[in-house]
This record gives sequence, structure tokens and C-alpha cells, in this order.
Amino acid sequence: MPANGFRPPPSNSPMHESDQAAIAAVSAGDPHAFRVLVDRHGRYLHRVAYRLTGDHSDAEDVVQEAFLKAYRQLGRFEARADLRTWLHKIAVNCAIDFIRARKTRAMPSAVEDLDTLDGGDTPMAQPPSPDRQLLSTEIGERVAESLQRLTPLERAAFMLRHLEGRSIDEIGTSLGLRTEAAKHSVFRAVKKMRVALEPLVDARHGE
Amino acid sequence: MHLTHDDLVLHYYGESAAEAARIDAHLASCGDCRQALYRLQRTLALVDTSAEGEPAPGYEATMWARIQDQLDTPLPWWRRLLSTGTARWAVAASTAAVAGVAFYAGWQARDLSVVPASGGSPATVASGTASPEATRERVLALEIGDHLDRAQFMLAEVANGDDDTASLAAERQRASDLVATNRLVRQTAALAGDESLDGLLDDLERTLVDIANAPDDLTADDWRALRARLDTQGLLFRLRVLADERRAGQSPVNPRPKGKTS
Repeated sequence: MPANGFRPPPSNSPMHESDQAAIAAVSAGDPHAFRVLVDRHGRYLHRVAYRLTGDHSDAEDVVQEAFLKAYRQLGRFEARADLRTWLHKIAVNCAIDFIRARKTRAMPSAVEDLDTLDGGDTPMAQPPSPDRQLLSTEIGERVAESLQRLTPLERAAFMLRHLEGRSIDEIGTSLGLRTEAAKHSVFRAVKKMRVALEPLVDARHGE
Repeated sequence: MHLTHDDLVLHYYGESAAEAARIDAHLASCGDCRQALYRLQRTLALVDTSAEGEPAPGYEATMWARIQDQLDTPLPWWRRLLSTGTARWAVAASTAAVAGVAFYAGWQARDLSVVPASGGSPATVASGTASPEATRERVLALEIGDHLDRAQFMLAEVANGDDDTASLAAERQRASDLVATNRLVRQTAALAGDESLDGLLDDLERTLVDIANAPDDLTADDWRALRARLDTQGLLFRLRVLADERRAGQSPVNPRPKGKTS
């Protein structure tokens, strides 16, 4: 399973002292102490939400909802657990709710014809320059561009599988899809990523 | 025949258990497919290196400004009590009961603020109650929103889950937990004359009770019948629409029409 910085930390990580103090203060009736948690974890949660939604504005909405939910549910948080792990789960669930709501409303970007981007006719830019220094920058840009070309559902399914480590069954349940539909969303997303990114792999090794 | 793209993806993500033997055997004997898998691994590894999604500088302050006003209401006292470690489990049951009474009483008081009870003047009733009323409404709105969210999630699990006993046991427990809260919210809606919420929660309650009381040996046909009923009622969709509406309005229940009081 691929490793990256977006997975939540292990659940037995010690909780940061400022988190503990903030939770205690909020629980004692000081809502403004919650800002410490926003400052410490907001940026991380935004990256998580952005990866699932693919849009900064949507990600902000998701993070806002996640923090409000966390605030309301703070009494249910187990002190022995890791706060970031807990917040991460809430943010992912909020993002899933957001994506499902968006799917229900059938936004135009969600009904893109997947087949038009299948295979070698994908309207991606030309393969990158083989120059190594440029290549690193280009990889990041190309990954972002490729992810933007996924439909919202494909992106969510792919990110839940690839970055969140959720099984296809779980993804189906989360996104309100049958298992087969969830599986095909992941397949199509990976196919699109391969079409877009394999030339970079070739360029990297062709130097 | 070589492995397909789908085979390779399932294998890469460790989801090929049903066909693991076939795929492993093929990979062991086919250099082309091993090479294809290697290219897939290298390609997907690029995704892990992306720093996509970094928010703009000052993001934390922006986010705080967005949520600050909504945090001004301190956590309800029962939440604060529940957060005190060892007391959590000891008080859980009694808190639920007290919250129920408070829930009901809150709406009785809300009615009084709209239409004064006999013997009390409107000024007396309204005096000094505006802020607590607003606070209570917001807390109730959040509680109802939470309940609708939880019910949505549970029904989505039933609608899309597996037909096995493990799934049933989990959903049965969750349905049982939701029934009591649902009754409380429904009574509140009925008292406030919110017919749309009352009607929806009535349908929801019947479904929750059915799931909570489902026998251990629920057959695949029973599952299908249950899901068909969810489809027929459009329960999940109605819940989602109502939850969105309530969230947008931040009102726990819709005000009853003028002149329709009880």
C-alpha cells in the first residue's frame, strides 16, 4: 500500500499537549479555545478535503462542517485517542457527505462522459521535457492536472482507495454505490491516471 | 492471455483475493504482465508525491472567522458532563432521559413565547427569554441535524450493505439506538405542528423498528424487501433533502402557520 503524508497518524500517537488543553477548555465552557485546534489541524484537514473534493472552495466548506461537527461531538472524543486521527475521520466523512450531496444534485461536472477520456485519445498535454529539474515540477503539475480531469465520483473513489486505504466495498457503502460501480469508478480513475502519468515514468527512466 | 488493467489494479490494491491464485500464477510466468504491474506501481507512486491541495497563507484565520460565530454557544451541559472521563458511562442513561425532558420542555416553552398562556402577559413571557430561546433553538437544530445525518448514514448502509448476519447485527443495533431519539424528535415536531418533519420521522420510525427487530436469520429475500421499501418510500432521499433544508435554514422545525396553535 502506498505511503504518503495524508494518512491519519496511528491511533496510539500521543495527543499534543495544546490539543489536550484546548479540549479541556472547550469542555469547560470556553468555545474560543477551539481556535487552537483550528490553527493546529485546519491546514492538514484542508489538504485531506481537497484531495477528495478537488476544489478549494468545496474543501473549505467541508473543513468548516468538519470542525463544527467536531465541536458538537467533542464530548464523545476519547481522551486516549489521537485528535488528528479523529478529525481526519470526521473530515473524510464530511467530504463523503458533500460528494454524495453533489452527486444527488447531478452537477454538470459529475456527468462527464467517462469514455471520452478513455485510452489514447485523452486530450492531455504532450509528454513532459526529459530535463530532470523541470521534470519534478512537471510531475506535480501533471498529477494535479490529471486528478482534475477525473469526475468528482472517480476522484472520490480513487482517493478513498489510494490515499485513505478504504476497501472497494467500503467505498461503495460510503458513496452510496453498488460494489461493482465503486470498483469501476476506481478502475476508470486509475486508467486515466495511467494515460496521463505513464509518459512521465518513461521520461524519468529514459534519461 | 495477459492480465487485464482491472486485474492489475485489484492486485495492486490487494483486492484480488478471489482470484489471487490465478493472478499470482500468471505473474510468476509472464514477464510482460510483471512489467505492466511495475509500471502501474511507479505511475501511482507519483500521486503520492503530489503536494496538491495546500491552502493559501492565512487559511487558519479565515477558517476560524467562518466558524467562530457558530461556536459562541458553549457546549450543552450534558456534553460537558459526558466529556469528564469516568463519569461518561455512569451518566449516559440518565443524561438521555434528562435531555428528553429538556427537549420536550424546550418546545413547550417555545410555544409559550409565541402564544402566551392564560394568566401571563406576552411581555412577561417574552421578557428576558430572547437569548436563551435563540440558544435553545440553535442547539435543537444541531441535535435534529445530527439525528437526520445519523439516520441517513444508517439507511445508506442498509441500502448498500452486504446481505450477511454481521451487517445485520451492526445495523440492528444502530437502528435500535436511533429509535428512541427519533421518537423524541418526532414528538417535538408534532408539538410544533411541523407536519413534514413529523411525517418523515413517522416513516423513518417504522423502518427503524423493523430493522431493530429483524430476526437473526434474515434471508436475502427479506433484505431485498427491506431495500425495496426504502426505494418505494424514497426515505433516504427525503431524509437528505430535509437535512439539507434544515441545515440551510438552521431552524429546528418549521414554524407552524399562524393561528394554528395547540
